[in-house]
Amino acid sequence: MNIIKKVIFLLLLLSFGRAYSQEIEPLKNEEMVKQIFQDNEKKIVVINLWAQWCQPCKIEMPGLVKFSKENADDMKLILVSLDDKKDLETKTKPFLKSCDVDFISYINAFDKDEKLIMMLDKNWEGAIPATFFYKDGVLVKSLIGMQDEKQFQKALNEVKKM
Amino acid sequence: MSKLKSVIFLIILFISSTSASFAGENPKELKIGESVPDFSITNYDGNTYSLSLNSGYTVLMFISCECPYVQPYTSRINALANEYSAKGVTFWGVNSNNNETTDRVKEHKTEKQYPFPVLKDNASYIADLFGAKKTPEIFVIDKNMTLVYHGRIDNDKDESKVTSSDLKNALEELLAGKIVSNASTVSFGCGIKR
Repeated sequence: MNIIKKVIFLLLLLSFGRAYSQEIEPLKNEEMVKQIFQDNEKKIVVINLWAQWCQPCKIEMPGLVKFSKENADDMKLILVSLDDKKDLETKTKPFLKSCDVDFISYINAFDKDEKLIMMLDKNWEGAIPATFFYKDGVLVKSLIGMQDEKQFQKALNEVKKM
Repeated sequence: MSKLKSVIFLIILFISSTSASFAGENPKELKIGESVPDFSITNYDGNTYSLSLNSGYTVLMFISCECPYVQPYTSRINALANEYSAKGVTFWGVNSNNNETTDRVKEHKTEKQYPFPVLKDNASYIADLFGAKKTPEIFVIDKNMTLVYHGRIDNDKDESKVTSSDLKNALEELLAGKIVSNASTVSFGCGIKR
């Protein structure tokens, strides 16, 4: 009985650890972004550019994550961090954990930043936070600057009607 | 009576246009080749800086005391300012972040040994005039008050990875009497806190 309890405890522990493991993959090139669009072809893909050193990004993040979870049937949130790799374990992951981010997110690893900027939105100058809505891989809405949950929801509702 | 109505109308028009130009909600998007608005600012250093009084080219650099995309550029912007000031180019830093105090801006200028003035842009007035959105963000203006370059300093905050020194290239072309070949460039940066 004791062993069964221990096994159950361990399984619970493992599942908890998995749910809250902050998996962050390097986003290296355009092909990876296109693959994300393909993998989520039936959903609106929402890409948010942020960094742990960016205060407005951190302020909007909890609302953004909540918004994405409430609209999980319609959209897929992709977080792309501009943090330095050296801050990944000590700053980036703990912050994502504090915001209940329990899905894979990304760190910018393009060889040149301008390639990522131009791919996401040709009219964007690179200021963060920035959030982009894509339908069938095509950009349909850009939100530059800090937003709240209501603004994200309003944008999604607009995009759904397009 | 009719005159009175006209005067009231003009007063309302003046107030509404003045408040709009200071509101900063819809910063104007300046394009290459367009005329830039003039400004005059009395800075914490006791000097008054008026854009239209500069002769030659002016480099306006929107910077921040904290942004991690600005800090790695210290040696590069100092070198550019030293090299091109000697060739008649005016360099001004502008700090438009409302969360960075005048004292902090003064301290930061000293820490970084910037060889150019840093204007404390209270209420983000200059940032709104130019439609500046982030730091670092560069505007180069010619003596006729025309925008001739807008964008980044170079294409990587890590100096060892730079493959295109865009601001330097632009200044070289301008001083040689040429049109800037890559006059509009993009980079990541920290949004200006208005």
